[in-house]
Amino acid sequence: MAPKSTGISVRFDKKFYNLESVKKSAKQFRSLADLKISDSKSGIDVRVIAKKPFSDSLIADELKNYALSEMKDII
Amino acid sequence: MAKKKTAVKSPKTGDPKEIKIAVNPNIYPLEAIYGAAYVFLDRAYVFLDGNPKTKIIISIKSKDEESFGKADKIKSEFLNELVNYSLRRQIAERNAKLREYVAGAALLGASGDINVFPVTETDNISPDELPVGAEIEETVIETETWKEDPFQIAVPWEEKYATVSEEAPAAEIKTSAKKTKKTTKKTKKK
Repeated sequence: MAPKSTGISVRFDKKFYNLESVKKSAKQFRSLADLKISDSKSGIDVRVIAKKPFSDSLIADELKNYALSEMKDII
Repeated sequence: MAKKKTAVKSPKTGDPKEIKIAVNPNIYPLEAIYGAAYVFLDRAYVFLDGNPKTKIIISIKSKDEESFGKADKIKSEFLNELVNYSLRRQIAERNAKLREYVAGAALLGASGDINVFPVTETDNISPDELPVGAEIEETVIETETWKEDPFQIAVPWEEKYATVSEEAPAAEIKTSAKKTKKTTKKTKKK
């Protein structure tokens, strides 16, 4: 049996993405993945552990896109 | 000029579907980059990184299973979109005051409280007395003429046809009575 994935971490630079948009994006993917957001001075880290049948990278990529669209809406 | 944009494999993942573009923010503003990126969200995964003051790195990863060729095409289109958005932003900046004025005038005019085109002394002068080239004043007079309403367009339908509609049923009864008389005469003849 394959070991359980520890997920992947996505780092959002605070100069391009704000915390609100990342939080809002993460909220949308709650049912598809386990997400943990950690905010630091330099950036926002999101750990993504996808639920079956989705892959971590797919969810991470979709999360990036969603956050970007949120930022575009703000601007 | 933008810094050299090279299509390279992602150093971290080595994914052939992913390319990175380095853009100089002094030429392409961040707003334009967001705008261009937004256009490609349905076809690719876009991620922004780098320094917004010196060098912005845009990662574009094709959503399709097709490999680098597709991503390379998206890159070219992305660069075109960057130019498009930069120009749009420039035009928007240039016309900002005019746009604000037009929107403000429209809103004030719609409220009806404030006259956007105040009545001036020239409004009382006939068009023949106006100086040559006084186009603005002429347009003001033109707008004033609609208030006369010679065809009674502004009169509500109920007011305009109230008397007619009341008479109408009576007229209909008369005509129907005539018809019945004619038919009875015909039957009698037969």
